[in-house]
Amino acid sequence: MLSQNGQNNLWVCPSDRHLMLRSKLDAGWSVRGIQPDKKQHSHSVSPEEMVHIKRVIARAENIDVSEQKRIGSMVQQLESMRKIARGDGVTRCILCSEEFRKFVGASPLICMDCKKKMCQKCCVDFSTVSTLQNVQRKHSNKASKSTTWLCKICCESREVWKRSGAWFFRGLPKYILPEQNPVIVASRYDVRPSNNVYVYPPSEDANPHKPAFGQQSSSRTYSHYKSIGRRRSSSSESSDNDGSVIERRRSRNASSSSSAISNASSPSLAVSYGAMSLSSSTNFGEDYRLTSAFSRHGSNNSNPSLGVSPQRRRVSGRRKKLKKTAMEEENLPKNDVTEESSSTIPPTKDSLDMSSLHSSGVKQTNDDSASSPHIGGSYIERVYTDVDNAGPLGSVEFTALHDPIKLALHVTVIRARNLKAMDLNGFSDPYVKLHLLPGSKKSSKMRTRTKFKTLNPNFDETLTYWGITESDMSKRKLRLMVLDEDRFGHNDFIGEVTVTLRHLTPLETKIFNMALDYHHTLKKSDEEDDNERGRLLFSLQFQEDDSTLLVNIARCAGLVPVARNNAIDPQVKVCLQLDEPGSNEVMCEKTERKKSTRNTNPAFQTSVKLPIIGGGNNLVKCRLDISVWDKDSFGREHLVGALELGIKSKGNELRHWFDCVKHPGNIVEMWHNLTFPPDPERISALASAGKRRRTPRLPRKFVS
Amino acid sequence: MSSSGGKTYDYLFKLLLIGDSGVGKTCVLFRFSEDHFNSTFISTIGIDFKIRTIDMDGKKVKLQIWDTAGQERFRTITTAYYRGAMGIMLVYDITNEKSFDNIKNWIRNIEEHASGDVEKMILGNKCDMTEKRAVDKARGERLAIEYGIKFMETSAKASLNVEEAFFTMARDIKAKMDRKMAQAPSQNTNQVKVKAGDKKSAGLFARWCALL
Repeated sequence: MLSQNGQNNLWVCPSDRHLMLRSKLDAGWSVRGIQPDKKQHSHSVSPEEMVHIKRVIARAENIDVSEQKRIGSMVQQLESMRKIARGDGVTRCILCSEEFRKFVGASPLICMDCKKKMCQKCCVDFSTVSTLQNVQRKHSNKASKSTTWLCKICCESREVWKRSGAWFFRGLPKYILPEQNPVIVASRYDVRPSNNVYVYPPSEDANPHKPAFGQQSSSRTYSHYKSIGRRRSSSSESSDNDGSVIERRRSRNASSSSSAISNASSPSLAVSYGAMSLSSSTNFGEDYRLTSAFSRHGSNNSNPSLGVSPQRRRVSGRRKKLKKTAMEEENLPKNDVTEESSSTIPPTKDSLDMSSLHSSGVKQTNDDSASSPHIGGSYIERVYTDVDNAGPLGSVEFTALHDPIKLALHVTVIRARNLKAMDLNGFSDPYVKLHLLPGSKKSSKMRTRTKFKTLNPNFDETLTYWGITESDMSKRKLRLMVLDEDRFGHNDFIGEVTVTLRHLTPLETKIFNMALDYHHTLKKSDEEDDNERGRLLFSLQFQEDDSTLLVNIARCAGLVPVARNNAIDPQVKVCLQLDEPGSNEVMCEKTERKKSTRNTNPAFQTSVKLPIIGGGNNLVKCRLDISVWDKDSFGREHLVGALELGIKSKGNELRHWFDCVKHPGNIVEMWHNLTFPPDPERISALASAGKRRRTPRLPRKFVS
Repeated sequence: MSSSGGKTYDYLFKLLLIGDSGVGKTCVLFRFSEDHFNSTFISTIGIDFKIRTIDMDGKKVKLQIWDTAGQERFRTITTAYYRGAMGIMLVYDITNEKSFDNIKNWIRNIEEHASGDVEKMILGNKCDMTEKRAVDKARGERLAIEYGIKFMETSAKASLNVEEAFFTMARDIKAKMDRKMAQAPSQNTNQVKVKAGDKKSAGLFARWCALL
């Protein structure tokens, strides 16, 4: 009793602020004003009432948790958007990294919030988003430019602020990031709007409206993001659907976060990736708060630092108070109340930190918001600089970003500085050549355009390696060579650097600025890998109704040219046959030939339809041979690589085949490694069988 | 995944009903959430809440409306919910003068505990009981004007203005949100910022002079 009294008094003891407030009240009526009353009443809350209140609080907590999950998924979506942004916002579009050229094309637009430049595809006309503001502006200044633009990320982040209630609480409330879901939507499988989502294992409901990521027409990874944007805009148009957008988005999150797991060959890697995304998202939270400063600054408070600090005190005061109530009301377990305080009153510890940050200097935070999150993509990890001791050869600056979802490695060569002069005129004509080690000399090399007559070239060119898996990342190295182009004769070597890809974090852009080194002779292990023939991305769809197999050849990567010249004219042939001793019937189709391209990563995007011999039920017994062919200048065909899918195949191929057979109607897409088959004659015989329903003409050698 | 079908929403607004005991807060809420009325008086124990999702300008707005006990003895619990509320409805009983007078106290209570930019509204409940009326509508309106907030007379029993009141509140909150989030840091606020900065610097300079 006594102790309770003491507590009561402690609790009732008014702070300066309360005294001040109380002095303003003429009636003297206040919650804490009448002590004796208080004491009586606090005892008159009966145990039954306590139970009732607890029940209500538990109910509220449930709602809070689901709300926190909702906010978490929004935050994660926003984060993934930021991660996918690749441009620097100065010379390239902040989002899609499209380069702005002088005179050619439309001029870049500047995002109102982050002040970065973006192309017209990646922006949102904010004046249409908020008509209210439009009206305001018309009143305030009759300027000719009445449109304001926001990049999609900033627009989305504003939307998150609205949806989460952060606009009110001046900071994101507590949120729970969506877990790494055991149910995997393998996003590597291409999902087309007209078809069901392929879910593995198939326990989830199929959502026909799921947006298609990329792969539709453009070959850039960025199309992924674009499709988000497109969907976003469409959802705002059709307001009725808006509710389901969240759901869609949520499932998309799950897909993007867990996609790596679909790679059966490297489950452990997939897990580590998941963990990474979690940790990075917590970082994100902080950054996000930083960026949020502007909106707080733009709030009604004329003096934000004054406005915030009493609020802080109030919050902490009430927290204390809540603990006291917990002690007073013995029936309520202490945990319950404190938890409740954190869930019902969103500005908890985090927002306190934030408000202190805010009050420490509005200007500073504003600057941060402008600069921190967007430079050169989403999150720049570390900048490697050892240029201080740059040798006589000069230095090169580039960024690398690995996207484990699209299996792409983007390397942006930014610039080189102080290059050694190789030509007589005192300049060089430099270009940068990338080489992925260990890898075949021909297929794993890419080069930038040449910049003529300069020692400080700005390349600003992004080169993308496709089909780079996590295991590739852990094994391979990236070699950058700066060379001098000579019109006549051999190109001169200026210098090179080598980076181990292992150090790259997935989805994080890393900037490297390195001094060039002299030429290293390659180790034998780094040299050509004979088994490597390149990679192929294709999807299968088993159409039950007309018992056909639809094969969509999406793209090849790292093809090894077989013909003498370095150019490659790839063509993909697809053959379906019954894998039974007696059957000779073969269904063959081929893609068009990509003419004399030095591009070892051609995108085909061609679909071929193969009827299944003897009806759809026979698909299980079929085998599918896919081969890539190159034609040399004499018109002869050479096999680049092949792969076989069927019940007898192994690993990824078997898995892909199984998924296709098991789930009719679903499009299942996967990357595969091409190999040089042990029986090239058979493949060539199959391929030359040509058109439909013809028995293969077996070459004599093979027959005998 | 966890939220399927109709459970999704765009915005979640947390509202709070306060006012003296017996003015009809629970009934107003009951009318709004379930469209029913119960004339027997059951005092609310501590706190309770109801949820209703409404459509507004094509957006789904989920209203989580907290109903508080008017009784003094629950005040510690109820005040804890002020902070999280985006909108607060002050309810009084038009047949009970005391409850109207207490509105001022409730407003002070809000100023002390609730967030600074909370949306407020005064409801004069039981407006169907004209023969027992003790507070004129004009007085309510005057009080609302005094505080610069909206006012409505409602009746949970006759289902008058209840829906309108909550919709008005939700619309006001949404408008406030849109206004806040539409502020362009580059254009509108910049101008304000510059002006404010000028004033501040002048003030600082003046103060510095005064110090000297």
